[in-house]
Amino acid sequence: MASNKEALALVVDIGVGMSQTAPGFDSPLQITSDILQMIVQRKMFQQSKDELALILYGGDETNNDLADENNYQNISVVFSLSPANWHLFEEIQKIKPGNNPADLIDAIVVAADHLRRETEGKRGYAAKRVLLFTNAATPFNDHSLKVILDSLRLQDITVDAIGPSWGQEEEDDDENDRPDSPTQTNGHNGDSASARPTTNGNHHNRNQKKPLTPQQKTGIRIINDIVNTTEGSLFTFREALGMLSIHQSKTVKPTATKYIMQLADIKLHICTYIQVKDNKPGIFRLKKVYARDPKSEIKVDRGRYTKDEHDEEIEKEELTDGFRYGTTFVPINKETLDDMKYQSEKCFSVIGFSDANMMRRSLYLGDTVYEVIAEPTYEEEAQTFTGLVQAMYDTNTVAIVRKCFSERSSPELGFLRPHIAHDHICMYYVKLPFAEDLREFNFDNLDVIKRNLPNDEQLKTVDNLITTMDLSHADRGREEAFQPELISNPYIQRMFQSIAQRAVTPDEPLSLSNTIMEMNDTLIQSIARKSKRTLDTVHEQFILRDTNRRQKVATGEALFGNNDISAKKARLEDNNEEFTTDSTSFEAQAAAKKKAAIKTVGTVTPVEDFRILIEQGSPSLTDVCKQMCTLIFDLINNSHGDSLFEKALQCIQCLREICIDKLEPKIFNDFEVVLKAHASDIDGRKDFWKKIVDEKISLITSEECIESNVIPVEAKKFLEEETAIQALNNAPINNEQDDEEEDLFDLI
Amino acid sequence: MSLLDQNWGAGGSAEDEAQDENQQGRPITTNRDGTLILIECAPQMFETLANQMKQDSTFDEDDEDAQLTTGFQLVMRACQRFYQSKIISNDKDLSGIILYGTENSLNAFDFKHIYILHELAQPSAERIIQLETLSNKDTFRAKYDELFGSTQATGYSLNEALWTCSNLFSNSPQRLTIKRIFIFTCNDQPHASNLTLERQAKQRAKDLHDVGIQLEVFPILTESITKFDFKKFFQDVLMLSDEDLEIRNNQEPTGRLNELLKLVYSKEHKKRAYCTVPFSLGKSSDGTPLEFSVSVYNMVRPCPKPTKIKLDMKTNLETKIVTKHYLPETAEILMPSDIQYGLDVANRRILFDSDEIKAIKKFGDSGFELLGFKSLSCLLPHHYVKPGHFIYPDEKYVEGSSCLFNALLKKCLEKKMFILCQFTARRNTPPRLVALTAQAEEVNKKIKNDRLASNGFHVHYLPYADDIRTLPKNDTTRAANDEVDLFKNVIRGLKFKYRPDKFENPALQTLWRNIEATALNKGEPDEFIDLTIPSVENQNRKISGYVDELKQMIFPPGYVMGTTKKSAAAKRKAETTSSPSSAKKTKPDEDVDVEAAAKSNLLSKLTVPMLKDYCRDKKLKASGTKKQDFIDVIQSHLGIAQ
Repeated sequence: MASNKEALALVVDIGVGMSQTAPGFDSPLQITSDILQMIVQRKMFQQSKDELALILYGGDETNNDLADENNYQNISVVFSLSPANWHLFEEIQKIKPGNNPADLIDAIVVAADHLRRETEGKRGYAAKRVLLFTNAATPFNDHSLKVILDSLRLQDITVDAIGPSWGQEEEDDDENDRPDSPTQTNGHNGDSASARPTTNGNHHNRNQKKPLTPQQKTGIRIINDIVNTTEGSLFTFREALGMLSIHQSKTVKPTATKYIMQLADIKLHICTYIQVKDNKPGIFRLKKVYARDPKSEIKVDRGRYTKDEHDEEIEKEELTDGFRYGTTFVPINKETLDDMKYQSEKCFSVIGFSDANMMRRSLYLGDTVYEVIAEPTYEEEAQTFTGLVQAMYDTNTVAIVRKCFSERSSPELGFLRPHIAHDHICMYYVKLPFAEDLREFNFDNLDVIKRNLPNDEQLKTVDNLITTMDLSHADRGREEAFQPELISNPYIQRMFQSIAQRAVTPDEPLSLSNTIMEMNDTLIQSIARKSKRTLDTVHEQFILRDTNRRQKVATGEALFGNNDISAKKARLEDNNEEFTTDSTSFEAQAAAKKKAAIKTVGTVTPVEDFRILIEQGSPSLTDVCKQMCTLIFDLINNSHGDSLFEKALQCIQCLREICIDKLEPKIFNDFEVVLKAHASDIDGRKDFWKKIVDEKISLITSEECIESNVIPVEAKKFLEEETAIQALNNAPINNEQDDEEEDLFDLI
Repeated sequence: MSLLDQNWGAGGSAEDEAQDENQQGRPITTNRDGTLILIECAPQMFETLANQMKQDSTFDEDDEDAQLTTGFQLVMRACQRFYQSKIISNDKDLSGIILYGTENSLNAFDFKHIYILHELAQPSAERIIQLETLSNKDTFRAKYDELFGSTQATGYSLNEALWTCSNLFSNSPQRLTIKRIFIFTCNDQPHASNLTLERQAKQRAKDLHDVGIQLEVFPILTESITKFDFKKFFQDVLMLSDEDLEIRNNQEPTGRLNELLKLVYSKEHKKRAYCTVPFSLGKSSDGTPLEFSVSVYNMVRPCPKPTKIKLDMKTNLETKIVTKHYLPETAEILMPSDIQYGLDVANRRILFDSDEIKAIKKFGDSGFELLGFKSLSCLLPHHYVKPGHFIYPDEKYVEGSSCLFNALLKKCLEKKMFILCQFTARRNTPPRLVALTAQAEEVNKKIKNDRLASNGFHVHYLPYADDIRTLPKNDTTRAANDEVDLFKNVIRGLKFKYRPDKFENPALQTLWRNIEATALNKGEPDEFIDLTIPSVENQNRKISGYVDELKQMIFPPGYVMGTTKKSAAAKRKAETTSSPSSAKKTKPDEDVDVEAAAKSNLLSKLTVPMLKDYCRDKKLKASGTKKQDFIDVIQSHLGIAQ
């Protein structure tokens, strides 16, 4: 394996100086801890092979291989070199300020020694690095610095240092406000520490601005010396936070797909690389796990069944492939299917050349832009390829290509566009549509209808709008704003943030931020300021009338069945949640209550859950019964055939028992009325009602429970009556069944 | 406009298109067309066809079609093709066939001489095979007699036939967007002798028209009937204006019929918006959101292949798949509420609810949010991640949308700018950056009413920083001018005008034809010509001169291009790539090679790189980058006269 991992020693000063701060400011140690957590998280999310060690100095403990009675005291290796894991993360969270003297130089020596010991004899390390976190407030001894520096160089160890400020000795404070500060060069994202993803945003990391002590000045000089000698870098806290605030997914190593490009008699070895493709980080692939025991992964069974009322399972061997031809089913066996398949060889053939202007962007198809270059090992062919690219570039033409990845895949049509930069020459390949892929929709010319024609004044306003909101040079330094190359996918950022948050504080609700707007707040604000007046004019000059025909909320739940809603509603009420109209926060809040949800009646062992909850006495009896009712409806509705009927029946019996026991017959009786109406209404659920009748699960009678006002005759009749008649007699129940069901919960 | 096109006869304006999409863009109901084919079976239908019909119907030199001698066969073949094309283009559409003037009767009202051959339903292989026998010259007569009776009846009523059609439509279990009746007849005045029947038929036609059923007549001309005058009767049935009548009477009677006879393998796309969403410009000072409404359309999408289905071997019937989630230990079936989503980071399982996953993906309501404008030059060639959309203003939700949209369109065109937006297609999809480029209307100058492009904005998805990969630089030495010039000749020789509808998908077309052949028990599938395979022979004919020259210029003699066996030069290169590239080839034997070649006057046979290397080693400066320049300088260096 190639040497590609890094050995990284995190050396952290926890001495007195690091925890001193004025009120209202984060201590340097606190900020250090945040940065360390971000580094470790990032390594874990990227599934990085890099190995990390954590070394603290200035605390009470001494734990290192070099220590003896007099030397290397108060330096502790709390995490030995190994890939980042949660244990390391927790060690960082556990860091507490110390108040013992410890020597910065000694700590570096311990780190270097640790790196040496741990990497010796092992392969695969591309670099060794010490990352030093300090504000240089603690005194240290630099008499052997020269020797140590030589040793670091010899071992090829780089030392980087991160601290509150590295101001030159004389001009010390206020580095945050100095625009020309050499440390403030982190471009687009280093702007605010408050944009950091890991903290929940209620405290701001601010560096305390106070003059450096003479000790710090000396310390900084020495650190500068070390860093420069080992070709490392200095970072301020602010810079480090900025760099780390953008999550990055695992980088993909470019891999070439090789083809032979054919153009008449010319055959050239070429490589294609993915240049642009929607990045879906692999880590986001989620497993389905069992809510009550997250360790067990859920298996999925996809059985084939006959598509009729029998629902018979069919074995794999009894299935054959086929196609639909109109309403006719055309079975086709495997061999014929292979024969039928279009046969193609792997190819990359130029069909011809066409004017580049004909390649409308709106025709582009597929999900990838490929870069195509000649395979460099074939020198003459590479030269030929270059000649072709240049000629295409000069004549403004593109090549139309038939491309087929392998014999097993379908050929596709695409085109090659030449690209020449001062140090790069290649072609871009994008897929094109076939005739079948085009949808030739026609739209009327907007000018035909008079009221669609903007007047001169309106046109002038829009012209103004375009000018005031021109982003071509709107960014700092008159650069193009919102360059795709610089905008991170907010979803990826948010997902990483959520994973981090959930990992660290599993019980807290997610705080969802990271919209494009938030991430580019300053820019958006400045544009909004500029365009404000023009927007007002647009508002005055264009009459836009909302017809209010848009449904405000059309969610899946609203469309598909109301049980879901009532279940949700029930859950909401359980949680005494205020119903907010803002659905984002609603969803987040509802989700946040997942722990509470586990305390509810689940579908796996509902009867047991129910009994336990009743015994616990919290939530209240009515609430638990409510849950049970909802669950029974769920079971009946989601049952495939009658597979879940038995379970539902057990639930009903249990509910009945409890209701009698707790002298709450009304809950059960109301429920059964609704159930009967419900079951009689839906095909395939009538069977369930039949089971109830067979099992003689009647309404709770006054004989069974004194609280009931149902006499046994009534109860018997209730069961015996035909559902149809019942439906007639109780027309309101049936008609307003939907409402009824929700009302039930209000009644309880 | 094709007869298969659902919009046929209806002036499809954009406004009533959006009716079937809801805000989520998820169509709840499928749009279906219904077509009933009403065929008169008068004796003339069995006469030999008029010559003009024959000629026209056999223009595609199809042997089978040439055997169609009678009107009836021709109509049956047209129906068959109509079905076949429907299956490919839109198999959800319903069609049916009703014969009138038959001896036997089969209909719900016991009308005489009306025979429903096919009820309104989706087409099937059985129907097509049956129609095949009804058009085949050897079988059609016998089959006809068997089904419909051997004699032709008189005294049937077109009114009753139309009534039957209308009844079939109203009994259709599916909601039909478009209902139409194609009448095939050779009789331009079916009820010439019976005014009552004529009046009834006209009234019925009017009623049908009122409920939105379209009628179309296809005249069949035979030896004895050589003229079809729409004025006599059908003007009133079809509600033709006098101009239309004029056009109709002068039309080739076979034009539309031929369109039906053509077998079309192409999928039809219903013009339905992908979604209709608000387009927000921001807020005015008083806090009113500035929003207009646009409909989003997909103009280019991969045409889906017929999906492979799993059939029950015993019954050859469709099966369904039932997905169950269960616990591996207990085989307990789980409900959605028991499922959480987890991922493992450094051996710790991190859990989310499905609600949370949704919430993470949800950034805002669907729609476009204006970020600003940019010059078109900011849109780089590789800024692409997935197929885009087309937007057109929608007046249904926000009145006045078109005017503002139009103003933006005009100004963006004029200033060569595009609109940068954040676009959220659905509530639970994360937003993406999109570039909206203005599209002006383009009309074919030669053919009136042929719109090449409609006005509106194209929506192009832009990549995020995460999507753009860093690739190694490729900095091959630029080619010499004469090489580039030769390539320019190659390009000129192989240049053609690309049109997106030029190439059919070979894999899809082959599959369609194969399924059809299997379903209809045809021996061989219809032939398909794959235009995507370039003919190297043709290409060579045009450019082989330049190619030969290029080969000579660049490649060493005997070099075979494109073989995986690496050439000697490539090997050499491969060996030396490990060491730094400069100062590598000072091997004397190579120099000798060049010098030997120079002495025997074979320098022109060596490759440019070889010559270049030699020059570099000997620190020779060529006067240019052409091969001859190198040869010259080497020759003068070695003191060899040209």
